[in-house]
This record gives sequence, C-alpha cells and structure tokens, in this order.
Amino acid sequence: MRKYGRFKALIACAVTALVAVGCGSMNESNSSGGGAAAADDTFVVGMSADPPHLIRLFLGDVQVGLVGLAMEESLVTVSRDKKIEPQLATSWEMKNPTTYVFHLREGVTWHDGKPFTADDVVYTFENGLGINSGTASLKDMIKSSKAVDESTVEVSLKSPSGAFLAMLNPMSFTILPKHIYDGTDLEENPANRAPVGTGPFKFESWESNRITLVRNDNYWGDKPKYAKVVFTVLGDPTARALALKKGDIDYINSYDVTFEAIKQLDEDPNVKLDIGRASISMKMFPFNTRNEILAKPEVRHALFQAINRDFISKSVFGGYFPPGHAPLPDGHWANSGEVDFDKLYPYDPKAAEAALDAAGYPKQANGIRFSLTHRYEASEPGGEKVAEVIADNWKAIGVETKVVQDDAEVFRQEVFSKHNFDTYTINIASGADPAIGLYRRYTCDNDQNAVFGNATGYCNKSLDELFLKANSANEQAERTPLYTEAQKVIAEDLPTSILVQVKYTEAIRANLTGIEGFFHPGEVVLLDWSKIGPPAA
Amino acid sequence: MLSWLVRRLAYVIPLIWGVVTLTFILVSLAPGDIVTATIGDYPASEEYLAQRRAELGIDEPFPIQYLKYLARVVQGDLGFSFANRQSVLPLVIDHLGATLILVVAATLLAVLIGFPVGMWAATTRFRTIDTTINVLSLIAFSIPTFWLALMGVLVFAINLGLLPTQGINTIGYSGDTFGQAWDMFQHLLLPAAALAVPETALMIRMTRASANGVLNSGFVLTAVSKGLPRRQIIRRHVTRNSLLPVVTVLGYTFGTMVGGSVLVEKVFGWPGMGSLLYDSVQRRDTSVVLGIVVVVAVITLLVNVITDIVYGLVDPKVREATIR
Repeated sequence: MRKYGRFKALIACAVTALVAVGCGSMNESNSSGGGAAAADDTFVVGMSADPPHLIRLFLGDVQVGLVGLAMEESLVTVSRDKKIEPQLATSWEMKNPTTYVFHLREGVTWHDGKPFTADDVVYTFENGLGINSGTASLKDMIKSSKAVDESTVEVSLKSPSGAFLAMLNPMSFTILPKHIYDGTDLEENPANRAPVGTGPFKFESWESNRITLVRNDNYWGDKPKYAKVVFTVLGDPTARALALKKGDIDYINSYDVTFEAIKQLDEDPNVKLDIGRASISMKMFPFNTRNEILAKPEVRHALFQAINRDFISKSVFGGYFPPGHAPLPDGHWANSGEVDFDKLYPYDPKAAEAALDAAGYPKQANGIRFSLTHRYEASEPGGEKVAEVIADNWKAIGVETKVVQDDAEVFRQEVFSKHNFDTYTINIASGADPAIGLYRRYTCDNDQNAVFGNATGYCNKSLDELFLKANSANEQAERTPLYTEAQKVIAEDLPTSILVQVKYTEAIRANLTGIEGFFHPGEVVLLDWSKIGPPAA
Repeated sequence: MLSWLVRRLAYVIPLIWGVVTLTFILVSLAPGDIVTATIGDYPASEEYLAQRRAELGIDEPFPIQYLKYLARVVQGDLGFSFANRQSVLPLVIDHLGATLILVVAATLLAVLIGFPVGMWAATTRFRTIDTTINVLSLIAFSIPTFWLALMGVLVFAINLGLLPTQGINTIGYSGDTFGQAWDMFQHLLLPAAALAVPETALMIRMTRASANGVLNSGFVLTAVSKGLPRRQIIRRHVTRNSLLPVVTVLGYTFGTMVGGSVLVEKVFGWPGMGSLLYDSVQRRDTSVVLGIVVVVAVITLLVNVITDIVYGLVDPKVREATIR
C-alpha cells in the first residue's frame, strides 16, 4: 500500500513556505534594507511603556517627560552644570524677596503659528498647577501672577523661596498654550495627546504604540539635526536591548535601561553605554522608629554598620552603582562632602555586635538578638538580592530578618499608609531641588507626604527648621552649608541610611554623532535635541 | 436554522454578564487604584488623593460603581480611560486589529502545520515517526511562549539578521501597497510563529488522538473489508471525521491565544490589545481592563457560535440534531 503522499505534500508545502519567507527576507534586507532600521533622518527611541498623554505639566511620568519635553518648554531650564538657565524667559530679576519678574523671549511662536506671550505664562500659573501632585507645592507657593506687558510676567510668592526657580524647570513645569486650553477641561483636552508647544519638535502622529514628531523649522533655538523622531514602545527589557543591538531602535533612555540590560549591552561594540553620569537617585534604607528596638539611634547605627555596602555595590550592581556616602549623592551641589558614611559607619560586624550588646540586646540561647521584617517592591532593580545580602549580614550579628516582597500597590499601602515594616529599600530621586527630594524623606510633616514621604515615624523639629531655612535662602552658596548641617543631623540620627547611589545608564547606538551633548548630566529626560545626529558619512 | 441561531445567541448574554461581573469583582479586589498608580513618587496629601478619586467617580461604594458600569455596558458604552484620556471602546477597537492579525496568522500556522502533521502521526506505519512527532509536540507545548519569542528574536533577528526585532512595520517605510504588506508580513512572522508553536503542538496531539479514534471505528473496518484502498479511506472517511474535535479546539484556543498574545505583543512591541491590557493593569485603569475583557469575551463567544455552525456543516449528525 502506498503511503499518504498527500499529507506529506502538505507538510512539505508548509515547510517550504516558511523557508522561502526566510530566504526572501534575507534577500530583501541585503538589497533594500527592508525589515532593518528606519531612514537616516529618523531617530528611533525605544520606551518601556506607552505614555497616557504627552503633557509634562500634568504628569511626572518618565515617558511623558521623554516625549513631551521634545515639544514643551518652561521659563527656565537646568544647565549641564545644574544651574538655572533661560529657556522661554531670557532673564529675570527679583524685585523683592517674594516678587520675581520674568522677561520673555520675543518672536517665539507655538507650533500652530500663534505667538507665545505673557498671557500663556499667566494662564498656566493660574490654571495648570496642582493637576500633577508634583506641582501642588508650586501652587501653594504662588500668591499671584500677572502680565505686565506682552513679554513680561510678574510672580508674587507667599514667602521667600530659594527653590522657586528650580521648581520652574521643565522637569515639573511647562507652559500651556492659552488659546488651546482656555475654557476647556484641561485634563480632557484633545491636545494632551497631540500637544502644541514651542519646543524643537512638533507633534505629527500617534498610532497605537508609535509616536512621531517632526522638526520644528521655526524653533527659536538650535534646531535638531534629525528631521523626525519616533518613540516606540517595547515593553520587555530584553527585547528592547535586542532591538538596540540590531539597530532597529537608536536609543533607550536610562530610566528604561534595566540593570540586566546593562550586562547584555556592555560587550556590544555597536552600542554605547553612558554610565558615568552623576547620580540623582539613591537606594534608601529607612528604619521604622515606631519599633521600640529601632527607636534607639545606636541600634540603627549598629545595624547599618553591619551591612557590607561595598559588597552590595560590587556583587549586586557589578560595581556600576557606588555605595552611598551621605543623604545626598556625591557631587550634588548641596553636598559639601563633609558627611561620609564610610568614615562614620564603616562596615564592621564586630563593632556592631558590641554596640547591640551595649544597647541591651544580647544574643539569646538560640543565637538571635531580635528579628526584623524587611520589605521591598517586586519591580525594584536589585531589591531581592540586596535583601538577601542584608539578611545574610544581619544573621552574622544575630539579627533575624524576615524578607517580604510586595506588588507595587501593596508595598505603598503597607509601607506608607500602614507603616507595617521594620526596614525597606526604595530608589528615590533627590529631585530638582533638595527642598523637594530630600525634605520629604525626613520631615515631621507627614500629612503632606502620604506617598513616598517619610514613613519612618522619625521627627526632629530642629531638622525641619534647618530644611525650611535652606529652602527659603536664595543662593546656592547660602544653602549648601545649611544642607550640610541637615545632612550631619540625618547622619547622626540615621532614620534612613543610603545603601548605593543609583547611576542612570543611557544606551545608544555608538555610531551616532553628538552623543555627549545630547544627554543631560542630572535630569535624565532633559535631552538636547540639537546635538544628536546621524552617523557621519 | 434561524430560531436555533437566535437561541444560541441568547445564551451569549448571560455568559457576557457573568464574565463582566467576575472581572469587575476581581479588578476591584486588586490593591490600589488609578490615583495611587499614576501619582508617581511625588508627595501627595490624602486630601489630594480623595479629591482626585471624587473627580474620577471612583470614591463611590462598590455596588453603585458596579450597577453604573452595567448600565453603561448595556448601552454600548465601555466607559472612559482615565489613564489614556480617551473613551474605552475606540481605544480597544484601535488595538483590536493588530491582535486579530496576529491571532489569525498564528491560527492559520497552527492549522496548516498541526493538522497534516497530526494526521501523518496517526496514519504512519512507522512507529518512530509517530513517537518523534509526539515527543516534539509535547516539548513544543511545554516551552514558555515568552522564552521562545526571545529566542526567536535572538536567532532570526540578531544572529541571522533575517527578520526585524520589533513593531508591526518598518518606521518611516513608504512603499506601494504590496511593499507595505510584505513589510508587515516580515514583522508578523516571528510573533505569529511564537504564538503558534504551542497551539500547533496542541493541534497535532488533538488531530492524532481524534484520527486514531476514527481509525478504530466500525465504518473504517467496514471500508477496509470492502477492499477500499487505504488512501481513499483516509481521505474520505478518516480526515473528515477527525476534523470535528479540531474545529472545537480551534474555537476554544482563540480565547487562549488572545490571552497568550499579551506576552508575545510585549516582546515584539506589537501594538495590539495585549500591550494595552498589560499597561492598563499596571496603571489600574479599570475601565480599559474591563473593556478588553468584554470585547474578548464577545469575540470568543461569537467564535464559538461560528464554531457550532461550522460543526453542523462538517457533521451531518450535529446538523440534524440542532438545525431544524
């Protein structure tokens, strides 16, 4: 009897079809570049998620910032050396400690051709603040604003504040076009998904997971070298890294470069990793002072001293993230470097054991002094391994650690609402100004800081006073000594310690030109679009 | 026929209600809401959070929210996505097309490869071929789609450089209609294949089991004793009868494939419902999650109704019993 050639023929057909397609695409990519990267005048950015909309003023989301800030601008911005410099305001002066006068750049037009004027600025101050919780404090700070003439705006504050100008940087504040938003429901305005800005790029289209912007040829500043920039979503970190390896995308912003991706891309000559930038984020390690054991500062000192931060830096983070030395990152303008955890609390398990003995917590018969609960959020990079090291280090000094991993929402509730923890880790950015980033982590004023604030139960009125003094001083030179004092108090009381300084890592195709100037050393979504360009011919 | 169809469709309504209710409860049980999820790491007071909740209408008690939602769904309004600032229905439909392309392509691959291979395994005279197919399909069924997708990218896109790594088409590609279709086809191949592998394996095993059953049935024995050539028996009697369970499985796998596409879409940056669903769960954007579930439920149930109709066409016995 014959075999059933028919089915075999079918299978053969299917296999041939698959192979043919494979070969076909190979020929294609060899000849015309089909299936390969986009055209030379297009810059492609791979992102981890779709932004909900594109207005930075309304949401402090990374993707919103990445796409939105290519189109939207503020009065001022932060320069590469972290100084406030002009953007839509060319200059400003203080009439008195609570009154700022801004002189606006003239001849600037919105992307739809309408002129940019003082009315837009006043409109934004009056209507646009408070939608994003990040601008709520700015809203509280401002008493009134008015347009003196077409290109002059006067802003009165309720009290003097050295942080005011820093809070106007585009990371948290951008100007809305009054003619688009006036009289509408700001949050439902269709322009939120098709912004009209003044920046170097204009919105072109948003098709499902791909956002296309085109160069603004009327831009007031240096124009971008690329004619188009496309933001596309690749949710999986490994797939994102692979797409960069292949050249299907040109750039992954550091927020979206996971630690695993760094390892994956490190060896690739076609990809440039930019790791050496100043850190603005710290892996913080707070203690719950409501626990009567942890209420004693000497116990907190001892527990911190028992953790091998150097080992965490080297083994968990491959040496990319240096150990934390102070409440503020190394090289931060407000960090004088006088506080150094390495000198104050060097890794020394023996000293830690002695301190715990002295504090009245000797080892019991089973070799354990007491046990603590440590929490971390599941998506925190390195959170799990750091927890392992902590538990291991503490076990060596007779402290038992129960490690709990939480989903993001559970974590927020357990830590920030219910205070159901003894220690936890979290990556926190110091923010545009220590008045925002540092203050919230240590202040007694917890009602203002329900989420991601000070969950430790620690309260020191004199520290709060120091912060407020530093906040209201106007010059960095005046403020730094005050923050140094504050850092000393924190280091002494240690309600929160710092394990490592999280360095952001940009990943970009190595053959592009102008990479250096493209990145901002402090603010990771502030990109200089006039610098980056296609590979040199 | 018509009254049967109406009765069959009437069953769909309580089913959809059940799916909506269950999903609504499950989504409400998840900790956190859109306000805490979108607030980011900025300080925010409880008053601010409460005010936002009131604005979004998510501060009402659960039964009220549920009834309001049901009332809206009945009117064909799936609600408003607070995260996307857009109505849910157009948002979901916008993403539906890409997912359908992916799922239909994967289904085609699964049927075109799975059915013939399954038949081959069932009818071959060589035990080794049967065993090999059996073992291979068991392995294929057990490989996690996610891993397979990444391996596909690594091998075919990075190492061999044959196919693109991500997206539904080349960014900025401008060609004629044929060029664009070819471009999309290249982008479709890896994700569709990754999605199809476990389904193909399932198809092979179903077909093989079903054909084995048919081969042992009385009418095949009769045909053999009549002296019909084996080739003709297989073609006329076995193939057609083996199709029945396969059609059933097809209708059933459609739903699981839409589910499976979440991961595949994530790996390949495929702009479908899977990506939307994932992001919406992350953002606790309840109305989108519910909207997608409703749309997928409706489609799956419709596919099942179609399956029943096809079933009738394939099997006269079923046609006799149901369609009068």
